[in-house]
Amino acid sequence: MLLRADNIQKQYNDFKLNCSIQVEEGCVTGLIGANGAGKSTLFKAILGLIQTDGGSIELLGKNQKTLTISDKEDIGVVLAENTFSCMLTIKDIIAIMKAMYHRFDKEQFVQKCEKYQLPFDKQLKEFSTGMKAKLKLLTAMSYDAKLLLLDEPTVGLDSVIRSELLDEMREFMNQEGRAILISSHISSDLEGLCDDFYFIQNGSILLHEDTDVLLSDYATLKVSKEQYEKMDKRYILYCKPESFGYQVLTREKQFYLDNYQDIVAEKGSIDDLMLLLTKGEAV
Amino acid sequence: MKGLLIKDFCIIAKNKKLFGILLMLSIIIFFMQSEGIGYFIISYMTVFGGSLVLATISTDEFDKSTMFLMTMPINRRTYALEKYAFSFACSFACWIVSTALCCIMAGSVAMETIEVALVLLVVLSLFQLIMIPVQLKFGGENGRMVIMGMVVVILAVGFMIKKVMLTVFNSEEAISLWIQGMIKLLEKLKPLPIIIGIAAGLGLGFLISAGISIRTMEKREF
Repeated sequence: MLLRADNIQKQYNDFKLNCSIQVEEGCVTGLIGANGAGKSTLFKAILGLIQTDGGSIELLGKNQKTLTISDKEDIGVVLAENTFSCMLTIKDIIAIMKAMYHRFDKEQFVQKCEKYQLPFDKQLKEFSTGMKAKLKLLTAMSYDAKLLLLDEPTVGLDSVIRSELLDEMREFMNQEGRAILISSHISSDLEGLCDDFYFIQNGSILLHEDTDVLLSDYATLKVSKEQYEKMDKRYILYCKPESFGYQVLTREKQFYLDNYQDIVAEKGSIDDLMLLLTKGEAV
Repeated sequence: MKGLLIKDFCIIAKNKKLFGILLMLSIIIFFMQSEGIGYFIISYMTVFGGSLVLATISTDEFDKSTMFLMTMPINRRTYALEKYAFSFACSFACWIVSTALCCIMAGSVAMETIEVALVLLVVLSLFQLIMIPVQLKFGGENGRMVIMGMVVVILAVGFMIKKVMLTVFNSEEAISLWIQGMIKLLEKLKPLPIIIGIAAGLGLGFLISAGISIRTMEKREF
């Protein structure tokens, strides 16, 4: 287990984080939630950037509070809004990374920057959003880290750049013993990448499931009010009133398809699931 | 710490305009040739060198990059201590250059110049020991307000001391004579104990200042 966070708690004025999460070796775990759901706060708690009010965090098999400086070389981080100072250039960053990380692979980093046509002499303030996003990810992957913690690495990017970055993450996972925790509010991005998903809302985890199970067993059902009244509700998780009746989320798609032939079952995309989880009511 | 030092030197190196202005001012001052201008250059350059660290703290804060730096293989203590190392390296380099410039202007290496330069170095080091924790604790904008407040308090205390001394000595001439007497007394003392005393004082000041800065960083939430 590369990351285990149990009952992490953090109270702000009008927001409370209270959740548990695990990331296993060889896995890419997605953290999905709307803006303000608590994704960045969870990342900050995991990275020790905020003081938590309770719970325990284990990173790389060690208590987070006892992590040494060399342990931190095994963790690659992309933060949603923060990176190096915008006054620096890639040349400067290479010099800094060389001094900071023993395993910094300068050759590969330079190669990747050239591949994505990132200018070496321009200050980061002159970079586009896409260029900055690429640089952040390439930097986090440049020193053979075991665990990547990526908070919204694809936010604000067009689909081409998003796809390029997701390919980089897949390439990173080719080596054994590695793992990624990635957050996004665009879940469709992560469908083809993640092995499991956590859905977070208002600081709490609503659902944790393997991607295979989510895509095979979960579905959103569209039912009229009459159908809803009559149907077996044992396997319904969330329900949302619609103009036509109800849209419901189930994790027993096959049960409803076998027993209610007139029900419309849509193969649940992760985005649909998230919509029902966040907008619907638990049944 | 090496990585952080490189980062700060890279940030400062990007401020070419700032260096241009400094160079221009130094040249203008150099040609003024008025009495005491050498000492002004030493203090001006040393303050400039020492204040570069404040620019790096502001830049880290403005770019919100401090939070990202904390995810790298450093800890908060190292971040705070690096600011002292950077500050002392910059101010010492500027002090050496300006003192050398002052000696060149005078045409000789006068003992008096070296003594004054050393006193200025001590005073300006104390100034940095105050500035760094204030800047780390209150940030760029608020930090400046706090420093201004401190200057007002110091001036007020100075004014009070002067008032008390006037009451004790009855006239300004008497105060002046007393100060001259104290200086003469100090001049009679052997230099080594004074130097050791000043070094110990600065060391203690550094420990207190660094302690406050480290605690500030360790408590900070991002």
